[in-house]
Amino acid sequence: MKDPTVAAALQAARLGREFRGRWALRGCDVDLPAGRVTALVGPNGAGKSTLLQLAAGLLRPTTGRIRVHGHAPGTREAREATAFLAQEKPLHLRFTVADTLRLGRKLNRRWDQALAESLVRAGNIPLTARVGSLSGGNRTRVALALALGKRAELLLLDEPLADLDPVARHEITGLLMYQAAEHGVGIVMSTHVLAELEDICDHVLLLKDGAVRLSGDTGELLDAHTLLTGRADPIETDGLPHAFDRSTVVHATTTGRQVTALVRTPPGSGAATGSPGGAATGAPADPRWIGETPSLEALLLAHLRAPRPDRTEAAA
Amino acid sequence: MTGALWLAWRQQRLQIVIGAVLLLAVTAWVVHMRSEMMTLIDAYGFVPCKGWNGDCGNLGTYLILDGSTGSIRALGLLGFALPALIGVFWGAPLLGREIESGTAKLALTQGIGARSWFAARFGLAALCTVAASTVIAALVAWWWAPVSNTLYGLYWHDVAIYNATGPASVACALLGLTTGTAAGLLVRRVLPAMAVTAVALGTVFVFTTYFRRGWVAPETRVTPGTTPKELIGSAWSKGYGYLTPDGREHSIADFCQTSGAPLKKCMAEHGFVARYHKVYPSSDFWVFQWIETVLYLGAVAALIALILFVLRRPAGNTAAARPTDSGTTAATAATAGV
Repeated sequence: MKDPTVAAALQAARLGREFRGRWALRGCDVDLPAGRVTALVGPNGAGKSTLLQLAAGLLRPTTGRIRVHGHAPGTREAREATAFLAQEKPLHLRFTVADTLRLGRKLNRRWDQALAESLVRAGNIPLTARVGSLSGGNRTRVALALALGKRAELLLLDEPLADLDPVARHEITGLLMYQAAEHGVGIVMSTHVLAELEDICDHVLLLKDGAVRLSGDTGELLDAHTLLTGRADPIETDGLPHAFDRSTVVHATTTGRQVTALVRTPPGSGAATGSPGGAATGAPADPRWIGETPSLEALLLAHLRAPRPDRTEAAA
Repeated sequence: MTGALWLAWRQQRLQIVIGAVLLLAVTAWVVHMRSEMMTLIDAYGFVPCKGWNGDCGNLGTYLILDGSTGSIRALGLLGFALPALIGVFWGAPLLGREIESGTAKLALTQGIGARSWFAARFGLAALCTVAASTVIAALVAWWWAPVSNTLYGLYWHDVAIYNATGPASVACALLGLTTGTAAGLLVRRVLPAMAVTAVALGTVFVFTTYFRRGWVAPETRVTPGTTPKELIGSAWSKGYGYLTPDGREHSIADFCQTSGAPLKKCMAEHGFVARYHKVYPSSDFWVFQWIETVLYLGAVAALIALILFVLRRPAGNTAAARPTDSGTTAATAATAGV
């Protein structure tokens, strides 16, 4: 699956970070292949920003180690290999847009002025405007231009789309996808916008309570799960059939008399074939149960809602 | 590094220009005021009478000193306050504002390392600090020299002179900047860092003011019996007292606070045979100055070392980041990267 000669874009082993006695991240093992678009998802306070800042070299790990493209964050090599967009999109408010791009040009050996300028121009932002006078969305655009102009191999983006309007979000997403496809740029972006992820990312890293809960190739993860929908069994509290193997259930919700459950498909049984329940999932071959491949959003939501998974899943 | 310097200049150019304009205005004012003073001195044939050595109460002396002492003191107090002003308004925001506003994250994730980022910003600010404090120190010395240590005027050990001129005043300004910078880095917010800086520099001032005279032995002038004491001149008095034949000193604070015949009687009663007067001659100005210069520069070096330690790369820390090193994890948590 993985080419061992190519350093992983982001690799962490037993990574932990403590803030005043509270662990924002603990015992994280992460291995993201190079050149992939990874969605970093998780509830607020899950440790997404902490992980990104550790990768950007802005925080020191309390425990464990982390490498970006084989280099320790903060080293010259790592700084050149990565570009970072902080969640609050910090910029010098008294600088003009041109000055801000100049900062990127002056502080980086590799710099793509044309790319950075085109991104700013696409938002109709005059280069002479003061950053402080820009709207939140335009500020994000300038911050992104600064990150992209760096021509890094790995973009670490902390909620890059959060304060963009839908049109801009679509455009920026397209631009990021283009960078990934055309230049092989790897992207790790944290986001709460699950619905749009399906078309964007080919890799998923789900954090919850400072730990990795789900990690892997999107396609493989989807294949490894089945979304079951059926009529609730009135006798069981969770509505699932009595004989059903509960250990495969990630999360089940009952809406009225209908149960929707995301279950793990045991290896070898193949993707959800549409066979109702099927022997593979342990459910009775009941025509009233429909099994289908979940959408990425449904998959992530179920895992986000799952109370306490007993183990970390890795499909890749 | 050139990029870091560009950023440092781009962010500090406004204060540098404003500072330079203010400095220029102060210089012009001093040049004007001093030339007026010199005109008076020439007109009245002023002969400075150093210290409390006699009657200098002629009209010329009065006019010259009355016209200039207040202004020299004002300039001296500016020089005295300069380290605190620089520390609070330039040092504390130097890194503190960057950290507070998050722009430190922007700078530190570009191609430059944290230490060159700091070196460029701090280096530029330090250069301006040394230049500004040197100019002020020179102006104070230049203006004050013709009327130095004169009765009713300013003495070398006055705060407005001693703290505003000489190498120690330049070193102290540098210490102000460094203290503010370190406070901004450690406190991570500008306003609290400003307060910490002000308190720290105030403590340094109180410390040096109270302990300065403990670092240098004063000159002891002994006069036998009740023969008149040597006039103090421009020296700085540390205390009077009496000597018993065995050479022991008895401070005037405890004995014979009187003069004339009662003094003679009192001295005889206690068996005092001589009087002593401990003074620092005005040449000790340089001794005090160099001692404090060394102390301040030592503190500057220590603070810079602390800043560089906090700004060390995360990479240098991977060995210490193993979970088994519980001792160092506490330290790394305390010195969180910026």
